[in-house]
Amino acid sequence: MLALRFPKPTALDNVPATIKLLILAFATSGIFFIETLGTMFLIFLAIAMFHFLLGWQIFKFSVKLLKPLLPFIAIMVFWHLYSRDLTGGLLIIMRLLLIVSLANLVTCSTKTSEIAEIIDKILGPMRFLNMNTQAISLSVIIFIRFTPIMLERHHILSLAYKCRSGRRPSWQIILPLILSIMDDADHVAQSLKSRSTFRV
Amino acid sequence: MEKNIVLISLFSASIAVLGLAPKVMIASGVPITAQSMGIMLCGTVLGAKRGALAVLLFLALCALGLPLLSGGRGGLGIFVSPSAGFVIGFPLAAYVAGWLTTRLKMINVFYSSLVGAITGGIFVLYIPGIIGMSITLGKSISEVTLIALIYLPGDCIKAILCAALTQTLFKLRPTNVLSRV
Amino acid sequence: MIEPKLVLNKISYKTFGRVILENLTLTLDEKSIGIIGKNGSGKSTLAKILCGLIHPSSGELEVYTNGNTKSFPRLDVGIVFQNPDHQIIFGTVEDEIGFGLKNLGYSKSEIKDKIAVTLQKFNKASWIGSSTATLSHGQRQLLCIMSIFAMDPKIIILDEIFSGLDLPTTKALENYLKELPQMIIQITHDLSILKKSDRIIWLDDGKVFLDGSPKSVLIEYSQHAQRNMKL
Repeated sequence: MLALRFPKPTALDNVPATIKLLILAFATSGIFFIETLGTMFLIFLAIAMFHFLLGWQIFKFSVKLLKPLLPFIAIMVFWHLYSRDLTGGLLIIMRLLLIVSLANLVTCSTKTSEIAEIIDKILGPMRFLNMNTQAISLSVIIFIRFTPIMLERHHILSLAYKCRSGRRPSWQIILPLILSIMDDADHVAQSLKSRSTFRV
Repeated sequence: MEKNIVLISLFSASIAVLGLAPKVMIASGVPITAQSMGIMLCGTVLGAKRGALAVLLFLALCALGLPLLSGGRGGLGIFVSPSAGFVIGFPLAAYVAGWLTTRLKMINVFYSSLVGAITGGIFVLYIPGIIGMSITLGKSISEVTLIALIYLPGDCIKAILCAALTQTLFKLRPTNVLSRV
Repeated sequence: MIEPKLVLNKISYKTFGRVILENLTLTLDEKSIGIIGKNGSGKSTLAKILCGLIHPSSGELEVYTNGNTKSFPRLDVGIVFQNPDHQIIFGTVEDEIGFGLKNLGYSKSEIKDKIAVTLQKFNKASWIGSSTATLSHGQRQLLCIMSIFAMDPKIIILDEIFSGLDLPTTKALENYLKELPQMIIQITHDLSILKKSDRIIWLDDGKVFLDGSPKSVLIEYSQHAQRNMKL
């Protein structure tokens, strides 16, 4: 279960995360003020070129990351064809693609630890809310450790269902999955407790 | 205390698993993922505060770049895409779902979690969701509401499933359904 | 020589209307004790009470580490459970062993030393830097034992740790356990492992059914099982 990163190192990797995030924030808000199709198209082209300059693999990867937006783009295409507002539609579609691809650029070129540090800094002032930092880091660790195990279990439950019903299950295996999660929770909690002698 | 940490983490992970599991086709032809049901479940099973924490943990890890949102989405892009409103509304949805499930202790678990799941997972979630879609797709609220209606049948089914699951879990593992403890 | 002792005084445990353990009064001070009984007889519940994970509904548990020095179950009684996947939380061997040590309040350098000493004691110094995901099932079970051992408990409870392990792995783990200086309380269905114990307690329906030397109890137990074969 790896974080989204570019397949190859890029020049962006060395830019400090805070700077990237600030630029992203400005760019994202700025893009919303662009109202002419021409300007938008130029910026769109510029960013596309930028991706291309980072390398063909990076370009392909970034395009792939935009796939989940297809349903929305499709809706926009039909909507604007129907309302005969092609320019408006193109504007919105390009804006969408631009904003998401810029955000993805930052995500894929920043180390997880850097982003974690930033999240830490944001949470810093909230420490007065009495948040237990050890609890948070333990939670993250347990999450990361158990997600693959759960996926595996989901897979096996699906197979077990399939071989007795001939079809793929949908909602039927959710109950056994969650039950096993709850039972696991008991065991893991006990294992934690048995080694956290004097913790709360 | 340990049980809280573990249940929150594991339910948080289950949101990811339910999102990564294959999509289901329902009658209206729209594929739905079980992910938003995971959000509702966090609320109805763990209660308001812990359910919201589980969802926040999930979102924090998504923000770190882990592709946990259904469709393998992750990173900062999820906070600027059309579904960003829904994503930001997730913790609130879980909180409300949990709050209602706990508050309505006097009635049967199924009905209280159904009310919780529908109120939190649909009414409360759709508000930021629709606002988010309106901003990113440049449409008016009423126009976007039409688009959002596509999700509605699927979400209703999920709410019912969520309530049924919560009821069964309460029967089988009452001490772990923290919303009713 | 530290001689630990567990004293149970009328310990009972009830939950959801069911009586799991009833009025257990025992003094455990032998070096190696085995607890046997059919599933549901209360063995695991007893184990969790002995290490302080759950509190008895009534009765008292006293832990003595040396003569009459009283101690706390959570501090001096360690427990290893059946499934290593439920116990291993961290991704590296060091983090896993270090977790309990951190909670005991050791400093970073002390933890590092203790981890090295523990790995050395079990002849697994090569495991430094290893990820827990690459270990086999038997190795992971050994890691769980090491993680508890590193915390220097005076008593270690092993709750069916050999379930599902193949014979070579079982034999290998047995060898490690033989060398441990602590008092070991083993819950297991595998009677051959308990042949060399000092004392066997047979629990049935939450009460002590038989309590004595392996010779007397184990024979009686297997004969009983033969006579009462039913599903």
